[in-house]
Amino acid sequence: MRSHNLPKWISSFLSWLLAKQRFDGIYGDLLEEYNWRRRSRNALIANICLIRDAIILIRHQNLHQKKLPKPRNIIAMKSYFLFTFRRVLKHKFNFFSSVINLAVGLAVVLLIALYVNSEMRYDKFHSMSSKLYRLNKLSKTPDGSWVKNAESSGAIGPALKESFPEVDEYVRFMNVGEFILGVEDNFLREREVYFTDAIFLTVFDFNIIRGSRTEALKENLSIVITESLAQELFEDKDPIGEIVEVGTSGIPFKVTAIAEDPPANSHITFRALVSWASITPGSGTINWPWANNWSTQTLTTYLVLNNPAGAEKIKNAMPGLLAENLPHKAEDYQFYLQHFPEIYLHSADIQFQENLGSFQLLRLLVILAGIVLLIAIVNYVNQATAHSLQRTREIGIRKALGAHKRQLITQFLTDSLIITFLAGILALVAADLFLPTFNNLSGKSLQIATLVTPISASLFLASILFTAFIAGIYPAWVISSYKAVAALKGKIGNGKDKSRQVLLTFQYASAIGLLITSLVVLNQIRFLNTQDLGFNSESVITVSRIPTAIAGRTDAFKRELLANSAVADVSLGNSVAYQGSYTTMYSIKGVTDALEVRCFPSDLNFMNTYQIAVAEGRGFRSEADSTAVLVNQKFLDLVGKETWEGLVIAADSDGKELDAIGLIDDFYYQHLNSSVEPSIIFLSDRIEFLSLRFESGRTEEALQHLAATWKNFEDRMPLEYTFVDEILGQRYATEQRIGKLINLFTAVIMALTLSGIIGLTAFMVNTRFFEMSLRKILGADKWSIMVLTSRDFLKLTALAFVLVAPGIYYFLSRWLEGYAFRISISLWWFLLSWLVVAVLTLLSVSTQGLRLIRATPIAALKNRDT
Amino acid sequence: MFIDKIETTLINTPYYKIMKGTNLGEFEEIVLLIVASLGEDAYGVSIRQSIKTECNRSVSLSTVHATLHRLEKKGYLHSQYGKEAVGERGGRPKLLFTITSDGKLAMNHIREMRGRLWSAIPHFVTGHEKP
Repeated sequence: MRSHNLPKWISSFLSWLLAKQRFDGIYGDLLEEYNWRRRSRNALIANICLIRDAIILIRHQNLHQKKLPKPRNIIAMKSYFLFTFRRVLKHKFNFFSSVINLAVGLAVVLLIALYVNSEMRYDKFHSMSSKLYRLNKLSKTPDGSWVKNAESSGAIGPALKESFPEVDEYVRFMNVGEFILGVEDNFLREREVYFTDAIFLTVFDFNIIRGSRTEALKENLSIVITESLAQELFEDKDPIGEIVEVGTSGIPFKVTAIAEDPPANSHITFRALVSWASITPGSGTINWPWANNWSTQTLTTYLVLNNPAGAEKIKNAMPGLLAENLPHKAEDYQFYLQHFPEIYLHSADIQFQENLGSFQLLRLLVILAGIVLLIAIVNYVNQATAHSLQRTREIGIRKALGAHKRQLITQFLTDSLIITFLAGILALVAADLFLPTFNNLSGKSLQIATLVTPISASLFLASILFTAFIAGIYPAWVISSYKAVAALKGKIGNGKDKSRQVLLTFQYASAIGLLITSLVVLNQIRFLNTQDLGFNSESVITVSRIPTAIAGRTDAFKRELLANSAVADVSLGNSVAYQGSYTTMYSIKGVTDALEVRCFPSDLNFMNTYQIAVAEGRGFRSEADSTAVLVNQKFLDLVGKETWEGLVIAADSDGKELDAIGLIDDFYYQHLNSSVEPSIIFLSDRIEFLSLRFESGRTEEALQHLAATWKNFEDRMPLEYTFVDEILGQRYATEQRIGKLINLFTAVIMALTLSGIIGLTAFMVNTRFFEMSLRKILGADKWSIMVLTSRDFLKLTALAFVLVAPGIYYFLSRWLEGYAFRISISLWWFLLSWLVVAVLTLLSVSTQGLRLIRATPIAALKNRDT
Repeated sequence: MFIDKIETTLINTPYYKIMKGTNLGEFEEIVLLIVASLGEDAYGVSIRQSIKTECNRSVSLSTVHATLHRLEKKGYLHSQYGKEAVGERGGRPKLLFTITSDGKLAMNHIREMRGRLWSAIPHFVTGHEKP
């Protein structure tokens, strides 16, 4: 007969827990029963009964006696809780303010923990995540500095796979802007269309709902769409095998698979994937040699390495590969690999990135959350030590009756543990209530539920215990060191405690520092937003991907648009102020060659539509100006010339010569933390964008007219427009977010600090009631009493200000240095911040001070005992 | 002095030793009877199974264990590990229980008390003729 054994974890757990002389009997009985049940019934029931029996067998008399707390301690513990409970009942206000204080601190920590948790989880869901790398490069700018970007060309990936055994796979991933997608008569514009290699779906673990992961992107003219896009395009029809027309010329692609929408914690997002085979010259319908050569740097290359050492090897070998295949750029490019899991948080210095997190922001938030929690703890410590002065008699009696110092410390730690525990529960509720607002601020969709895992729950419990310990240990230690006799005679506690002053100074310093920071950040953001951009951004809208029906009849289209007086100007060209421009190499006849310059290919109306002013010379007048060019001041600086007159500029690509006809004012289209680039504007007949300036105040009318005119010319493709100022407003989304978060933290810290001060003054007023009453009788007036109560606090605010100001000044100037356009820090903001803190302190002190002033002195003098 | 002594003994007695007295509960009585009836082979599993067959009552092993130890503490039972290791028990010996003389006394006491009470019941309640 086969005999079973108990599961290992049960037997080792029991042998650890149970008394030695009991263990054999219990174990044997359990096993015998277990075997009997296995024979007579099934394994599941036997296991369930076993676990039930084992649990119930853990009874007091069966346990290892040494591992149990001594009964005496259990009785003592009961009394600790009892005393805490009595004190809570006696000092309700004090208790609730302590709980709320700590709850605010813990709630902030909880929210930030959620945020950090979600940021750290980015991109970790791909099983190959740790083997993945992205090919980044350093590019030399015209002025000799290096900038980082993640752009590479289509030929590099295959070349790397061929030359390095460490490279298992390469994935090219390319976006070329907005596409029009159409199914029968249903057209829509989609920006997130990516061209990618067939291996993409195998390397990255995006969920596939229908279709084959390995086959979907192999064929020419295959497209994979996401669930949501499928719903928009096909509604309830089955999309597999159906045709989607892509682009203005309507190339038919076959839907081969449906992917789930990429999860929120992926920095790679897409709504449609198009097979690379479709754009490979020879095999593909779309002939895009530029996407497969060495020179065009427009796509992202991901590599799967089977050995991390390959990253360094490839970096070192890249200059050789470049010299061989792209000799004229070998000096300007330095390729290197970035580990895939680091992309999301550590790409702040890499250009042209979207959908990224910021490690700096994360660090800032963690520091701020730490400060908030610390301030909450300081409040508790201050209140507890101050409050204990009223308990000196109790402590004296306890000591006289023989209480050990350790017992007193345990008593005070029990206080803080119970208060922190309640605060923790309250914090959970508060965090849950406040989460929608926080999500709004942080731009995330966090959920409390993500914290309901064993690890997070135990971390939260641990942090509560830690907070309770930190908050409780100092008061416990101070109070328990009182001398019994002195305590009984009431000789302890003149109300002036050095450590309390240090803690208060710390609170004031954080409050003042944050106030200054938020003032500077707010002013910088306002400055950035009100900066004159050098062109009209308020009343211009743009439309991208102009369909052929309109591009072929531009003159008629423009005429019809301009017929309405609400439309001020129309430009149909290759670029708009913030998009469509590119940098390429130019040489200046007789001066220098190979300069990298930003080009704005445009039409005749471009300058008028955006109201870009010509500083010197003239603008474009007619089609005859097709060889004319306008330059900006930065361009002249780069060339090293005083004047634009007589400059002849030739493009390296086709050698076409352009004559400079004027100088334009600088205009900014990028983030204002980068400076203006050397730029030129010239005429081109390619039509990609429509820009329309309307008379301000007649927006609706202009938009209706545009929609009607569009319909006349093109009835299939939908019209979608964007306001230029909205697009430009998004450039500072991160700054705005940081600004809002800092404001929020400032408010929380100010509130906590002030509530701490109110608590302290309330206590001080109580202890000095007798003294103040005496002063009043001897003739002190209201003001001198107010001054007496608030003087100490004001001194501390001044001290805190002196301590924090230099550091904050240094920190903020460093931050501002990151912006090419920045405000200068005004000392006035510093003084203002101090003033605000001082006035708020005075106000909160006076709420308590008024009690002193109003009270009848005789009451206090009669009742000396209080 | 006297008061001091009482207090120290009270404090030094583990609280689980302060019990309800030595009265036998209903289930304790059954366990005691079964241990006595099983003779040499009374241990956790066999007692549980006897309770099941004799009284048609399903109890968990831990209940049996708890009761056995309580009876031992009251001085009615004596426990001792068996000599042989049993294969089916993973090589562990049985913890065998035997009834002590106190236990026998208590059993007799209960039986007598029951008998007295039974005989005092008027016959119309039980429906039996008095012998």
